[in-house]
Amino acid sequence: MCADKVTHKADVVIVGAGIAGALMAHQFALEKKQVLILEAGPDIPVDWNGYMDRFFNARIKVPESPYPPTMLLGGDPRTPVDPATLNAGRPTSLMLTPDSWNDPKKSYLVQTGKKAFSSTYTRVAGGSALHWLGTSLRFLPTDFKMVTCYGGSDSKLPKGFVDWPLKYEDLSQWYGEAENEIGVSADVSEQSYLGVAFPRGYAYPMPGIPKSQVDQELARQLTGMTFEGQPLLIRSTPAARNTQPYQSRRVCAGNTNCIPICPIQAKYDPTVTLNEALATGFVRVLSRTVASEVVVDARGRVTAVKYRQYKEEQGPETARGMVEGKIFIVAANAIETPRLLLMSKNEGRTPNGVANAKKFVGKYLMDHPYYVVWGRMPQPVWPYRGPLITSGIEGMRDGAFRKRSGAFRVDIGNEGWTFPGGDPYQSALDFVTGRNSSRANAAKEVLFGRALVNRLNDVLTHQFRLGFLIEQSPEESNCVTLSDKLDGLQLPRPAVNYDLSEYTLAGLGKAAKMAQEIFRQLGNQTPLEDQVQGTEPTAVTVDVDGRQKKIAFYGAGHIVGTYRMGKSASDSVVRDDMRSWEHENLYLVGSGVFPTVATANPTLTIAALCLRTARKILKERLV
Amino acid sequence: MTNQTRRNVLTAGVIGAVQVIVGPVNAAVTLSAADAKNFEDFLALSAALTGIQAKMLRPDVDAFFDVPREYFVQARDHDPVKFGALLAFFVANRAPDPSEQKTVIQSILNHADKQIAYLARSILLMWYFGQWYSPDQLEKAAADPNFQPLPPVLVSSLGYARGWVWKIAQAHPAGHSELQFGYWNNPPPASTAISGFIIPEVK
Repeated sequence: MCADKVTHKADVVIVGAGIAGALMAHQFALEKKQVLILEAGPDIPVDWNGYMDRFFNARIKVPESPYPPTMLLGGDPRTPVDPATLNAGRPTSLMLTPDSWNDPKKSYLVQTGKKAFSSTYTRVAGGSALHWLGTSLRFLPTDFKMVTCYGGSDSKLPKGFVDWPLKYEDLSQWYGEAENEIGVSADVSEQSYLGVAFPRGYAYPMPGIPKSQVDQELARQLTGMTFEGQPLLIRSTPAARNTQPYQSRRVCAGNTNCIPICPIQAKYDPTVTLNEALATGFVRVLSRTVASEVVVDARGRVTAVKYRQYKEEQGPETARGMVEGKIFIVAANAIETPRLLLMSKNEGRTPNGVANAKKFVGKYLMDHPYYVVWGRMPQPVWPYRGPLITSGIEGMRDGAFRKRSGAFRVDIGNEGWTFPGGDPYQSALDFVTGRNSSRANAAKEVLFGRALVNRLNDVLTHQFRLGFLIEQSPEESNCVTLSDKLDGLQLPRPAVNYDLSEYTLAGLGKAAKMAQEIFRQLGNQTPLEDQVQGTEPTAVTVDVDGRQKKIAFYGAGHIVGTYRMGKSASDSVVRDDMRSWEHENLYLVGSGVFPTVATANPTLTIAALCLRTARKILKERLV
Repeated sequence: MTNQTRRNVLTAGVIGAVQVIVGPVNAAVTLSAADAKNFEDFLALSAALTGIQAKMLRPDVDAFFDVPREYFVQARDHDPVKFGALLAFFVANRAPDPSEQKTVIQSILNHADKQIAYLARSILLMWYFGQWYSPDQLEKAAADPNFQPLPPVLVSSLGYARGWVWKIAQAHPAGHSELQFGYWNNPPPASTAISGFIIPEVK
């Protein structure tokens, strides 16, 4: 193939039209800078109903189901699409079964570790935040200084932990800007805890989301209860979900479908910002355009990004080219960004990849391992109503125990037993076939008619579930590298090596202990259910109060850490403004820069960091 | 938390591939004279299976009008011979009072012909979900607790939106709320109680 032709030029070139790329593109466009976004997947659909139709037609409603590419040939779960045939493939929940997780013919990620990295993402305009829940928590002040607060001679903090090169105070203003940009609903009075402070007079853009019946009943049942000295408070979760009309978007109507898609876009998603950016006339998106190499000249300056294009998700490559710019931003998520950097060998001038002379790129991959328990409340709580999650228990997000075990937060599910077993389908099937997969049909009865209606009403209206998100420790061995398996464009797919450290397992053990104590409080009629997969890739053994217990963990979708920020080039990939230490016109943005994952869902912090960096670039680089 | 990896939704159905449907979805369904009688029997059988009053299963008004006919066509065309046999058995053995069909339904669900016994179950679940679990999948599921039935196939998107399982839960189908902001803060109103549609007991 002949040398790639320059097809486009812009002031700023951004790889990835997810939340990071969208927010930054919008900021530049508002100042009339020309922005070009390369997006691996298809463009924003003209009409949201395109995604809703895909959702309604999907046979299996995993988070990725409304969004291309196709996961199953003919929609049949027995015939998954081979990731080698997809031009913009991605990991999906369907690739995490015991027989698929480390089979490269079924799994997009080539998993090489002891445990399955269980989080997934989406490569279309809008990115993974299309199917996020909307949770918009700020990090806590101590999250930014784990070593200062919890290091020391008596500490068991793993050596991968570092302090951030930023403090909470540096980001507070930007958190506020991010909350206004995406529209977060919460009340300052309820969110001022564990050191989180707001400027005097600050108010979230919209009032907090009303609590569900599940939240309220749980609060009643847990009144007066403490865990390790902390009262168990049920606290509303700040979320990018409208409680008032906002940005011409409607108020939440409780469709109970936030993941995978809000039918009315009451939940913020990045297509909102992308559309605003496009409306300025200063942003152009090249869709179905996969960045294949970051081009660096002899002086270390980024001069271009090469790309490959396609028209059909399993079709042939249709074009190649490259785009030039002054500033380059890679915003392709914490797996695809290191993948691109590692692929960029520049004919041997960057043999370890771009921005990777110190070989940190891809390392310290983190997630929030997620432990789920469920049961039957003593009183009806009427789940399957309202947003998927409205409240949580936040007391264990911080404390001296972090010297020895991972912190965690708890989310309270409003969707009954959907997550663990696929209710209401599973329970209905149980009573019709005489099974007990849901564990609500211990007597294995076959019911019909009135008896079935009464029984199902009783079963479904009492269901609840809790999820525990654990702070995973940064470990060098948890990493993203290049595999020898290719995608449809003949580019190497990411390989992931993943495991859980003792520190992380200790956090899971403490979470399991809290779960047990909560269920003890709920009474004997409410046995704790948790699913033991029994299979190695997603099962771990944890210590719960001196006893060993095997539990399953899930991924939370929080992919973090693979190009960490730091105070010096010797131990990090980017500076606190997310600029590469090695290439002065290259920025690597998104959750990949987080040195630690803490316990907050990453999106709000991604947004805050991106707005801060965009402002800095405008002030200092693009005048 | 943001992105839940719901592996276990593999066993849950949701709305299935439209392409597999028997006949057009949402097109007006007309039945022959012979089928018209069968349709009435199908409704009576469905009420007895589901526990939902027949007049609620087939309201006279609104766009839902065609859904019961679509369900009839789905069940009939899956296996016309067994469907005919199922209806014939029901008609021959049903009690005069619609509220007292326990005996005949029990016999159907325990029928020696498993295809009839499980076709009845497929029909029941179709009213609950708007989706079709094929009888052989249900039969395998009953025999083997570890068997994961295939996710069901969509019969009617309007049927999904009016699925009875969600009303039994006093809620609404996931992705389809017709309610107002904040409703979830309160218990469901009395109007959603199952007494509104369950077949009443006769004392």
